[in-house]
Amino acid sequence: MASAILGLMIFAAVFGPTLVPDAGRITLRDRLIEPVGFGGTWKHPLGTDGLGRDILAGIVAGARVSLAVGFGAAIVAALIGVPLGLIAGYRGGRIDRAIGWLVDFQLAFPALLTVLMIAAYVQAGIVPLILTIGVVSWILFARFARAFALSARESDYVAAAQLAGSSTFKILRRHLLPNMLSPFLLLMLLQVSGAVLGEAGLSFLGLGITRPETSWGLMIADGREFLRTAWWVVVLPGAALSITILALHEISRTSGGAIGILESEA
Amino acid sequence: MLQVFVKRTFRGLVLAFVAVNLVFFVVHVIGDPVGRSLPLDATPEQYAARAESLGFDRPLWEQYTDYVGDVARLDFGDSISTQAPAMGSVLTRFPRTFLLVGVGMGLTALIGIPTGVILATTKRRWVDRLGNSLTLTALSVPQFWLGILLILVFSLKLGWFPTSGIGGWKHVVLPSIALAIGPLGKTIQITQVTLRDELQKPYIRTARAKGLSEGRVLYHALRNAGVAVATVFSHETILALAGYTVLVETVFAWPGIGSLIAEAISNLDIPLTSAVVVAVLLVVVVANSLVDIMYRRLDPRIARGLK
Amino acid sequence: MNQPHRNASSAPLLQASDIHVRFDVEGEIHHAVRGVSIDVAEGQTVGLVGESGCGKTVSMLALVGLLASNAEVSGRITYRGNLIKSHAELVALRGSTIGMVFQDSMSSLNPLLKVGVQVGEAVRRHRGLDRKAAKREAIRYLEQVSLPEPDHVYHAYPHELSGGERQRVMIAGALACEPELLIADEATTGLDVTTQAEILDLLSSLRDSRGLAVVFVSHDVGAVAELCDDLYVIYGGRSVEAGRTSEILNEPRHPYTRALLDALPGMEVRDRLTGIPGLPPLPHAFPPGCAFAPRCAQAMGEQCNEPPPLFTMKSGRRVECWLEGAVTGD
Repeated sequence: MASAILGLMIFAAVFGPTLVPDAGRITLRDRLIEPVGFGGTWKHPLGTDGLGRDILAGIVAGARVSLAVGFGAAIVAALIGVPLGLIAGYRGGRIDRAIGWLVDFQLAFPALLTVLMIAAYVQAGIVPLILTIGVVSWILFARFARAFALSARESDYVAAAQLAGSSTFKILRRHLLPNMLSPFLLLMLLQVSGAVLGEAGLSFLGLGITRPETSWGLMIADGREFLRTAWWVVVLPGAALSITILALHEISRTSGGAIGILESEA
Repeated sequence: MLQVFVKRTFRGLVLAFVAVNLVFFVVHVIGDPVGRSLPLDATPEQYAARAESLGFDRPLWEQYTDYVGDVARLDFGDSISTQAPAMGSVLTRFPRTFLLVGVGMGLTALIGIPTGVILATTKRRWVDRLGNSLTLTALSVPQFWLGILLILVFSLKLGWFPTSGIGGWKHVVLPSIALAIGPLGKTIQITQVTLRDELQKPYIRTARAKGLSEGRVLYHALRNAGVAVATVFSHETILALAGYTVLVETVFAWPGIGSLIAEAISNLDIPLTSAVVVAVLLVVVVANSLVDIMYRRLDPRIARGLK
Repeated sequence: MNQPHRNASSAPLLQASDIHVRFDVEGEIHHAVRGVSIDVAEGQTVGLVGESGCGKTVSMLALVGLLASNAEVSGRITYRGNLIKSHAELVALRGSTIGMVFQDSMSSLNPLLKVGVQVGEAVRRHRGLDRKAAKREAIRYLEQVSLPEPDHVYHAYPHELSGGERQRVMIAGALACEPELLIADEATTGLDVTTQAEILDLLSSLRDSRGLAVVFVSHDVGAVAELCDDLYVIYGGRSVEAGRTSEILNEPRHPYTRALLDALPGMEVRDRLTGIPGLPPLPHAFPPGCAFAPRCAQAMGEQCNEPPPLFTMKSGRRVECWLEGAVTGD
């Protein structure tokens, strides 16, 4: 079920804009049309917003933005966190302490402030969002990779590789990385959900995605002024967002590893 | 204890220093507050005039020493948008966020911990399933969207609570529920998972072998699960105090520190931004120290440096 | 049913017969205890010995109703002649009349509670004393297990004590319930030899001074044998040999008992030190017939694939082995 929802969202993100075009087209004549079942017609299955934009098209276009930022930021975070964590755990000593200090610092400094400031002072948009959200969320990856390297350092296959004269880099790449793949993917999913939520929140505040691009958070923000008369403008994009997050959580939970990862975080 | 305090304070100072530099770096070095505060079609002359009025035409090192000097004296100047002293707004806004976070986290503890205990100890399959679905939903619903839904149902449709703003206790109800939803999910989850773990441990068997009541046995396990639960709970509290209330405060037009952060940053209000960042850091450092002290009380092994 | 010999003067305290324990491990049934019978008389000391995984601990946990919820226990248990009819009755005995002490005192004590509190809570539970009185009593029990400065130890946390001290605390906690029977499950395992001897001394002096019946569960025959009146040798979830300790030590009849004694250093039963070849079977794969047959030097082929018959000797000793049949021509 959860995988089906996520699959649908990914499908929407990839092919949606070609199937349901005109996400941003303003048709003032068609303002605030109800969804089907609430008085609307199949021309706009999920109704329209205050400027006559089609909600379904907006949700589909928003899926692309959300998932792009979600996966993009998670990949950036992994690219920073995993190498740092592996090196910290594998080499230990001074390097480990230095990276530990970096983690402590990042934990104590509210990531939100950094992201907000960069969005406001430097530039808003998809790519800056991916970079900033990615840069502030590497810690879990680092901790996970460090714990992994620590346990692997003691294990037989690494000892054997060391005896055979492999270099540190080669050991990390050939022996450690393949073994950490499946827990790593679960952690990725959790991070994707965090980044999707982050993007939605920032866009809601007007500091993320801006028109003419569209995003679920932005749609929710735009719909607030019609809350009294047209609930669907706010409720439907939010539902899409919640269901996506739910699917990501459910997949990582049922795959069993999430709790372990969360525990090693504590 | 004193040593810990000194260490904490030192770390706090280092953190504040790095943070202040980070703000400077974002605003003055990679940022372009001048350009972003002007319309896109502004002429170079307009740009230069604005840069001069903001002091951005001076050499970077001069901007830096001025900035650090002001921050060191905790003199952030007046807010650009309101003309009021920046630190003054911070001091009026913070208590309101404390209120919201206090009520929200209070709800979280009152509902989350008992629910987690029930889920960890239940033998009924349907209770377990229902609980897990609710927890998952709580973890997945975005706070700000939930806030809007609450307004839709309880303010606009039912008229039980005001839609926004501050005033009596009724104003606090909806925003604190919206704020509590994520921490609630995490608290239930961590309570359930760690308690279930603890209940499998040998000391529980010893407690049972002594013929203790199930209530007392549960107390044994809870005492041990407490450390992990407190970690998650305090982490969530600190995040909320650090400005993560921004979304909920925006939805409910709650004039706390979160909405101040959003205003300051959206308006490119540099003095106000600096004041907020430093104040938030201060709160985070103090809160972290309190959490450390709490750990020492919860687990005697930490106090002796065994863990 | 035939019982092993016991002191004529002492009345039966706990009688467990034909105890079975089955675990449901994700749908697979592990039959860990397959018909063990044990009798303990008042003030008597009984030993249960065998390798780890043989079912000795599981059968003891079954007697006090401490098994996990996936365990199914069957059999007949009487306490002072009264038949135990429900799990609730079993639970009622636990603590108040049967105390239990476990291995690994570090994890078996709550790390976050003062050890005195962990002794005192038992007093409060069983005698309904208030906090203050319970503390006085707890200190008295700490004194009884020969802990120096019991007032001081009361306030200590488990990690601040040595392994031997922790084990004494655990014994004090069990004593605080004023039991008639104490089950010591590997209570000295993991302690150094000197401390082991001290703990065993403590337990035997408590037995003498309070008339306490004690069941020692141990993988180490040498450690407990000399304290025990009766000995049960457990293998593959069954009691393969049971009887007076002196008889078993002098003349072991079951090949497993012999192998176990052979493996002991310093025992003059055999002239050389031998381990038992092979590994004990695991509860989900007990062989049909005699569980020991695959490792038995005297296995008799086909016959050992059938469950061996029970032979009861005049002295009350019970042996489950086909060899007995061959010798006595039953």
